[in-house]
Amino acid sequence: MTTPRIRHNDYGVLSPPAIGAWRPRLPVSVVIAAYGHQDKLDLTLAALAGQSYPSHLLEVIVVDDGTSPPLRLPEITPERTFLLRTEPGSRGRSNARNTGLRIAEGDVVHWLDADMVTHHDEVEAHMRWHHLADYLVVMGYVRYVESGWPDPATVHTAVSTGNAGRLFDLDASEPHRWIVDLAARTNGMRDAKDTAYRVHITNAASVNARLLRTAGPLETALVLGEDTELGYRLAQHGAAFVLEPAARSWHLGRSMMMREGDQVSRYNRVFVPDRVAHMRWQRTHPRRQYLVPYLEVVVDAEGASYEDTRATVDGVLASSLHDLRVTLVGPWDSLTEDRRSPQYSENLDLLLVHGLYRHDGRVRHVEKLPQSAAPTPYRLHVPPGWVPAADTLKRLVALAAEQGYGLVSVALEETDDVLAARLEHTGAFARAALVRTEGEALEDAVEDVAGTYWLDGATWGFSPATATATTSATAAPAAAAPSPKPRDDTGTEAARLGEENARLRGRVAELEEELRRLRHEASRRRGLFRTGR
Amino acid sequence: MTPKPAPPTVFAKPGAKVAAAVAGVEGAGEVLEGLLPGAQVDSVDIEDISGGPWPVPEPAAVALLARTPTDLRRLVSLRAALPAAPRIMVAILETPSWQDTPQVMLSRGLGQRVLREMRVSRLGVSGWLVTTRFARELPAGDVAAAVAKGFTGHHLNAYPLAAAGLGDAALADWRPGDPDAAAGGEPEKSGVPAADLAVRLPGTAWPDDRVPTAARPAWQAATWAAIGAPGGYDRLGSIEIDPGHVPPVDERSVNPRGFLRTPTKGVGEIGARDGRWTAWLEDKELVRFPESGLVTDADVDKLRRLRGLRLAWRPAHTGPITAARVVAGLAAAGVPLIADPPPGWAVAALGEDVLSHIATEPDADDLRREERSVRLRRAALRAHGTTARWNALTAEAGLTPPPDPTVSVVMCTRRADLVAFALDQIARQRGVDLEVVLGLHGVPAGHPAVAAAVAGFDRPITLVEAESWLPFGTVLNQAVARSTGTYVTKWDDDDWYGPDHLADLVLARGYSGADLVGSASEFFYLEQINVTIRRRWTSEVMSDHVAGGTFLISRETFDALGGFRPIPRSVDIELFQALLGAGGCIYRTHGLNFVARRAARGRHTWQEPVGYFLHRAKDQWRGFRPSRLMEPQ
Repeated sequence: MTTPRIRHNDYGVLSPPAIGAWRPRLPVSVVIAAYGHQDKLDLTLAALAGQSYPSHLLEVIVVDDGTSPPLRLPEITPERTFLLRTEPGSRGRSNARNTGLRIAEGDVVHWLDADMVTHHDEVEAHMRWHHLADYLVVMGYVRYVESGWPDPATVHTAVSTGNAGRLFDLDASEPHRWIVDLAARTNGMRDAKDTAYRVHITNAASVNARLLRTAGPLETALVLGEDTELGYRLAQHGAAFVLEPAARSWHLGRSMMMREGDQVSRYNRVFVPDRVAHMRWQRTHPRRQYLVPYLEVVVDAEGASYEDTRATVDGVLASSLHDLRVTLVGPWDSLTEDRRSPQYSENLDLLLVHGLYRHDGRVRHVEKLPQSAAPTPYRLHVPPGWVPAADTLKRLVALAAEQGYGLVSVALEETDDVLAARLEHTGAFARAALVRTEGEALEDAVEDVAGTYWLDGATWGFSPATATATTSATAAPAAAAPSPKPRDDTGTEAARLGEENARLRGRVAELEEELRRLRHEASRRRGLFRTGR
Repeated sequence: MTPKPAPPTVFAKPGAKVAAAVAGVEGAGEVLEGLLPGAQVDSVDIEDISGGPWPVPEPAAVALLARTPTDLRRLVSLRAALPAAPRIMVAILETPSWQDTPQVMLSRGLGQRVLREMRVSRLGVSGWLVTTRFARELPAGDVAAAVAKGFTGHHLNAYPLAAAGLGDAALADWRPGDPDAAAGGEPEKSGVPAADLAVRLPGTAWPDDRVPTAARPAWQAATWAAIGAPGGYDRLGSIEIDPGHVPPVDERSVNPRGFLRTPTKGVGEIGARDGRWTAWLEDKELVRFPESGLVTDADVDKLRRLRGLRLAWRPAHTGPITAARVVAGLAAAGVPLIADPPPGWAVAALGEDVLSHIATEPDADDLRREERSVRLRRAALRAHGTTARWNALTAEAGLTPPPDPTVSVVMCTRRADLVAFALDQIARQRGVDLEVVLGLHGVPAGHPAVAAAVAGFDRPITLVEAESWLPFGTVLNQAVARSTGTYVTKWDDDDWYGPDHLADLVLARGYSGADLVGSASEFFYLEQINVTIRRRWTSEVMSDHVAGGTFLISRETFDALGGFRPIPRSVDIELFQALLGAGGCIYRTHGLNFVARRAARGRHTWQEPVGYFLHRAKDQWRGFRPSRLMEPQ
């Protein structure tokens, strides 16, 4: 079976079967983190025991996050229900869920809160999507009820007979207003593009387990907003987010967000945007840096001259898009400096590059570039020697974000091959890798899941280092500094000749351009000469 | 004595007798009064012109008043019936936005020799007023023809068709813009028949029984009103509904010229309102077509910005022929049409082919819209144009239609491995009679790749070997010298061509009259990065250049220009400039039949880097993505 290709977040390409009219085959693990409230847990488990999803494909893992006295499994539970306890010192909601995730055997992990009464087909409604593609996050519809819980046997009977809807007064319950509004604005998240991750909410979401293990687990450093942050990381690993109104459940009591929304938001605004680079509306400061940058710029320094690499990196660091980090790739660990005459060291150019940026907080040196930029949402490869103008990167990323492109290539120059800078959308590349067929070019799959686009480098502000060296503001101080050494030794002479060579190359290009212009003019004038004779 | 120019004269003094003929103008009396204050104007509408002597004998001046250039061309066909005078005025009230300033180009040594004064000035927003004074009286139809000719690219007001006779002024639309059409059927003084083939009103006789005739009713006879009148149903049986009974589309004025590939307005509507076909957008009326169903160039121009026109077949109170005439005119102009499945009379009058390109829903994608428009205009021009109609009448009458022009495809290559690719592209050309002249530039004819490709090609082909050191222009000239076709067209060895490429060029030449016709250079396949781009050229315009690998020119014109210059590159641009300098014109038709291949620099003569194309691209697609008209195999 070939995996369907969801473009951006438009899951309309998937056609799930009608509930009750298909044959499930994938096992699912329901993971519940609980603290206190044995009464509500009993109802949650009673409802899960009444699911239409086959019991041999359903396991439930309850993690008691340190309740005293400890929680116990009640009488009515699904056949395969397990109870774990977190250890003192490693507690917290995220940790509890991660503990459950560790032993989960299902192909899908269904997060559920310990105070939820699911409808009989809630799990089935989630699972009908997961059978269609292996990179999905599915979010159900929750309604919040205030008080008056029935007993577990009543819940179990009602759910088993498909009557969970009658357990509470629908009109008196509250929907998850934020999700309902978001769904209305985004055609059920299908048009949500890069903001779809926000529907990963652990009270009622399900996730492909393999995807979850690749992207996850939950970040225990975050006490709140951890599900949003994981949703964001899932997106960077290729997830698509489905809203399933048919996956219904009752939430016993109102949520923390409902009760104390302003305080929770105030708290989250500090801790979450630091890790979620797509929250551009929270990152409006022109110069600040964050734990996860918006853009990673990769410069492969190996084989390049110090001057070329420096011109590129300096250009990038001078960019008006400040929320970025530079990754310099090179054999940094094996560089050795000659302690007596360091200026003659082998790999001198790499040593200089390393020395120039080692204390810059936005530059890191790596030996090998990780395949994915995750959790950074964009990665730009720039060949050394090519310098973006101040607003180039900002415009480039804005174009990619607005159009949803998975890959924007910028043609710089060509011989037989075209040398290009490449802006990659991390999530699109991850999904492309998941759906590509054997022998298919990754970029073809990127085209399907997000689109690709080519730009002209000159128009978009990329110029060769040789052309910018004399004009670039960032390069000026270095160029003006007096040479510390006389020019009689061959090393600096070679460097000088190299620079001269580059300057002349630029001049040749200028003259060629001039020649083209003159030829063009001449061809337009020729008619005049003819009549003049 | 210093010669002085004569001061501009008053065209018609107060009280002077002026004979006026009017085509397509409502409220002509008022307009003529404004143009000829104080004159004694006697005007006749084109519908009422009779074959006999003009009602005003020996007028001081003649005024020809046409609403549009298309209407003027209807008067041209009645040249023989129009009066003569020493002063002749041609007033056109509306012209399309792309229309050049008119001129008066009469025959050398004759009309042009006696022209003493000529003034051209703007009339209203888009109209033109041409006034002339001659040393002696001149037939007004000659001036009408001279002005009408200047509105097209044609150097001659001639059709390569059977000489036409028109039995009544009401049939003028059957042979628009032809000053040679004979009015009435009396043989010429020499005894020679006035026409080879004539159209007459039903129930009338043609005085010369040597001339085959076809009976065609005036449009008034086929309206639903006429059919609904007492005795009308009897007449209904006598009305034949088929394409041959719809007056032809004047392809030299109503054609794709001025098509906009990026519409700026939405989908308009067209339907019958108060007995007239009317086009509107939202609440705004755009065009109210005349009762006859005539579509004019100026009216088409008002519809160009629309994404399309939604057509209501019912209620068609205008009658089937006039309804079909409106649809055929709009279709020939490439106005995208949208309609429900057609009723029987529409199928009968328009033909399945035209109708198959009318969409049921508007095309939201601009490229899809343009593709559909090209197919629609092709079908309509081939089924309803003047040339098509008269060739059909000719065949019906048992006469031999004139032969189609032949096309010599000239292709010069240095790359034996591309010959098979190129010949495959030529082999699938349809609708043209072609031969190939293959210039082998430093490649021996015996090269196995060439020999195999030539052996597998089933149309006439001539091989011309040229030394490798010769410049490209010289090799091309050597190849052209061996060609035998009416037209010569240049072909690139590595580019892609749609199967209707040549047929569309011949068609565009027919309606534009340009000396050189070619495609817009829009589609490029950038091979190194596997991307197809589309540039922003306007098409269906007179221009100063076309894609070098696509142009078609008559052999005669090519020779008159001295052929290609003997230089290694830029031979196309040089030829274009020579042609324009010589006063010729270049028409750029649509660019959907052609994709230029841009390979790595080492393999081609491109001077622009790949970014040059990316920067100028309006659209880009990953992979090889030609238009659907290319029918990629």
